[in-house]
Amino acid sequence: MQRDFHYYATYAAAILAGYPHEAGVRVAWSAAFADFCTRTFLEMIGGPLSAATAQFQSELLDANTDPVGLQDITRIWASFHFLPGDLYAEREKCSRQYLRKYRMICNPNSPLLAETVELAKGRGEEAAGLAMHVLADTWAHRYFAGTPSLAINNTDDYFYELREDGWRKIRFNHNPASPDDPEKGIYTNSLYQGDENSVMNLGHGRAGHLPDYSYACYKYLPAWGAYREIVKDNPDDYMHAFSQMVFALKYLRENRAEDRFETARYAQEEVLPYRDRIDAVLRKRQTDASGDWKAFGEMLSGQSIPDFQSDRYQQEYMDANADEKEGTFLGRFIYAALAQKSMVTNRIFASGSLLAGFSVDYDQKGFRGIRDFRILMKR
Amino acid sequence: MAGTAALLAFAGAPGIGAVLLFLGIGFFLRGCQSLLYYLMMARSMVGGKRILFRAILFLDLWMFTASVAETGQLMGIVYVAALHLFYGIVEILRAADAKRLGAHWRFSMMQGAGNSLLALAVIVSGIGMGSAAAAVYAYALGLAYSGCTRIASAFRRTAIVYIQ
Repeated sequence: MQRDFHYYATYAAAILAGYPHEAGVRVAWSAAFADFCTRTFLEMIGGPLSAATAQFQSELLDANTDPVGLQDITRIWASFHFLPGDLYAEREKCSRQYLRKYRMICNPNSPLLAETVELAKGRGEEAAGLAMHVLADTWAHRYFAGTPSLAINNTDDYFYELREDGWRKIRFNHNPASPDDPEKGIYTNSLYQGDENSVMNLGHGRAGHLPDYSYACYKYLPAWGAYREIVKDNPDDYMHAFSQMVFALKYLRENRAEDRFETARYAQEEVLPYRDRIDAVLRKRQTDASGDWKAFGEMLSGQSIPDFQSDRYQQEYMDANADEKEGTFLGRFIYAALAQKSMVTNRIFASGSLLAGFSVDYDQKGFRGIRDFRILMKR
Repeated sequence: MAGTAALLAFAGAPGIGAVLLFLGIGFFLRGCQSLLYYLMMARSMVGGKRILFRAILFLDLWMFTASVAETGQLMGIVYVAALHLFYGIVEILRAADAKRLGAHWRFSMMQGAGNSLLALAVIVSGIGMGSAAAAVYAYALGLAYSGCTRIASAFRRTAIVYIQ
């Protein structure tokens, strides 16, 4: 998903879930910031590099694709943008190596999603926003995996979009500088790379930005699909994502110790009065719906939503003393990111896969490995 | 890799035959790798037959390289020059991208410039002066660098602690 949904739609969901305006802005900012918290940014502010929740294109191009490098890439993308749908999925007549990657395919309403929301419980708006980013992306990025894999993430030129006059073939070009043209059905995607572990085969690169456009309804043949057509109905998926965000944020705001977050639950009552308006925004053919979502959010709260700026809380973090950094906004976001990454890595490791690297259970073995995660021991 | 690089460096220009031998072995291994990848992964993938054709192509290249090993000095020179020129250009472009985004770029730029100059030296020496020595030294340098970075990479910390 893009900033229009991660920031403005998350703000609207927070207001509908009962958050006041300022808290809603903080939740929305954290949700959007998950696409900006890269190693480059963390290096600049003096933060722990392991807390990275995204990678710039230049970082990806420079990334090693040896086993250790691939684990690092997988930890970031699987933890925050392509949460695995079923780590114990089965598939017939395939190798164990293939099965491990098949199990990384992102899908909504997974057990990992429930754990993600539970992890954010009682940890403030920063953690809530991060959890909403993960939740929203499970709907937009479904059917792709957060690990480089040609065999899972590849697509071919069988790509059709549903328009008013029926199915129309989509044309892809590989020039990242040229903007997508929704009217003509011309989009940019990543080049075909025959190497299984090439970063070009990470996530939904081979489908370009199509998964991130809320208006798009398209069909294609995913590499893992055994020539079965998949129809991706983004307006429907995004509506589910929004409704589920409202439900999840309500759960987090109420913070009742006895409750557990349930997947496949949607805030129908809260969303129903605005359903038509939201549907109109989702179906409008535009590559950036920020204006419409912003107007909707401001209508709900009656307040003006500040534009997203990735450096909004940067100075507070940089000015704080070493022992005060954890108490800052970015400090709490970083903690939430480390906790999320640690949890997802552990679950992937527990399923018998080393795609995200080793996970050491602290209770049994004590502290091992990457020192940045030592902060998790303090709470 | 580092050891092989040292041997090549001692050999000098006559080492071009060894470079072609390694090239041939490389094609053979890549062909086998592609075949194995097809059997393990790409069989279950839409369009996976492309991988099988690639395997066959690499195995064909292996046989061709082996057949010209005695007389293919020029092929070895062109291959080494092209390899270094390609990596040099890619590194320079990455460095430019990193600089634009405010990330570290100097090391990448130095690597890119170094590789490009090496490619130029190979072309001048190999095609201009008819000596394969520069190509052999460049190949040896690349092998040594690759070997050292893999050794360094093996010592990177990777485990993440999980706390309930």
